[in-house]
Amino acid sequence: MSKPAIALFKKDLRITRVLWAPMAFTYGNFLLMFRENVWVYLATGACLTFVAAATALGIDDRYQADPLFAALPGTRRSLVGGRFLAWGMVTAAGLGLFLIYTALLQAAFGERVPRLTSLVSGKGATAFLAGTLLTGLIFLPFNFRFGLWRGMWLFTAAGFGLSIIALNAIVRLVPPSAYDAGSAASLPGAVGSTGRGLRALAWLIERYMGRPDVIAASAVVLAFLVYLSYRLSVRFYRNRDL
Amino acid sequence: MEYAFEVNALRKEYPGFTLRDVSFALPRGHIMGLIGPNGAGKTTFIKLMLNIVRRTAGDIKIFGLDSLAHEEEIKSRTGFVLDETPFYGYLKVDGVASVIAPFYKSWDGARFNRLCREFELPFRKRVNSLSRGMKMKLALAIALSHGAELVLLDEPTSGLDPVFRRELLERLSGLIQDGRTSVLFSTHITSDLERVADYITCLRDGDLIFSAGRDEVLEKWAVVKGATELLAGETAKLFRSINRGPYGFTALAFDKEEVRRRLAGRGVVIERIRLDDLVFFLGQEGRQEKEAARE
Repeated sequence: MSKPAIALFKKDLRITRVLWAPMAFTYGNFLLMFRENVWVYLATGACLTFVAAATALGIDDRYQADPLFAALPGTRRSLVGGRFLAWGMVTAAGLGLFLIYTALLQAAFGERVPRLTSLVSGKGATAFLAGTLLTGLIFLPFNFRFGLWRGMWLFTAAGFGLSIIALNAIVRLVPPSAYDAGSAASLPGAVGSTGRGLRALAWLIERYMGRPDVIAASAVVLAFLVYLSYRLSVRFYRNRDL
Repeated sequence: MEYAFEVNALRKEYPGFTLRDVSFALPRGHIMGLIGPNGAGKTTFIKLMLNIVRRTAGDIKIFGLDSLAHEEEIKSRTGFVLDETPFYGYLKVDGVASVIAPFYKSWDGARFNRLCREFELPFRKRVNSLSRGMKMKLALAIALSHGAELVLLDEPTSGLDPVFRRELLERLSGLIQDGRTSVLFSTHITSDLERVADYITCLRDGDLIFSAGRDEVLEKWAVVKGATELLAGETAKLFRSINRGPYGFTALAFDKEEVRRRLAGRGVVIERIRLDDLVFFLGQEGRQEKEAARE
């Protein structure tokens, strides 16, 4: 990492540190609220980590600080590098908090939240990291191409569309007998197949996540995605007028 | 001659505005003023120098180095003040410095503190509670705290009181005394430039009108007043931006000596030009050209 990338990373920490305590508190509260359903719980942790990682971008957008940092020593590449570093660190911190809160909730509520136990494990950490990193790695090129808010809207729209396509593809890959489709079984058309896709995805995660070969494969895929996302982000940001 | 920067056929295209193939240079150890009406391209030019916006075509060499290929080195030797001061409002003055200092290898914290004291900037005050003038002083303190060899200032004197403005101009004059530091600053307060600038560059609607030494500009250009009948035939070609009134005309002459030679003894008044007049007349000429094009 170059000096300007480290400087930008430090800057992100410096400008957000006033929010760390409230964010950690809010994080715990939300997890507490959604402790009953392990999937919603996992998604809540991932979403809040995404929001925490995007906070520095939001502050920079609020103060229109991008031109300032583009004019300071460094290149667009180093600025992108700093952002990726900060995003990775926040994700790691989010994972740490997630595991700590989960362990605390499990200790406090014991058998009333039996399924949370499974999350304090390699399986839980892999699921959490795969979700948060994947989301971040897709979002960042949008951010560098379109700016924060336009990028966020386009990312949300694209993410929604791609998720539906992916879930419908999963339904075709996983045999219906393998998982319990639940209430989604009776739903018609695309809504039904998307619902069944969610069930099938849950089954896949339950069955395969945490296995050493799956962790290794996830790491390879994520490493490739980091490379691809970084290269795209640099290309987009390099050509953008600030 | 060694140049602080040289731009060659620099072009930037936006929808509705183009900075057109601008070429000029600033010799080291001098101050250049960038003038022109609103929308002339002054801010765009400074942003291009800092790579905040991307050029469509052309070259920028700063300290003899290509501004894209040696971006990091050039920026570490360049100080700047942008037209907006995008500092985090909730940080205190020293907090802003702590965010920016890590970007510079040669950041001089003691110098920053000294400048803040000289500029009467309150260290413990949040940026939100500073006036526009104080924010500008903060930006200046940052720009001057790492031994920059080239200082790019976009409207640095706007929002400043006359006393500090004068002090700033003296400081800029002091900066270049080492013979290696150079300053480019854009301003609408052209009297500032008459005081300190060695070179004047004028842009209008994205075109370079001229870039020349201040004395040369003030010697060569003039405001001319006379009877309207004098504008007949070839004489009108001596002028730009002609205002015709019931009692005669007022116009901008770009070659004072030629006017003096051709119209001697015919009742014209040739006045020494001020940069303010120059911007006014050139701005007016631009508007007239646009109106003529529309018609």
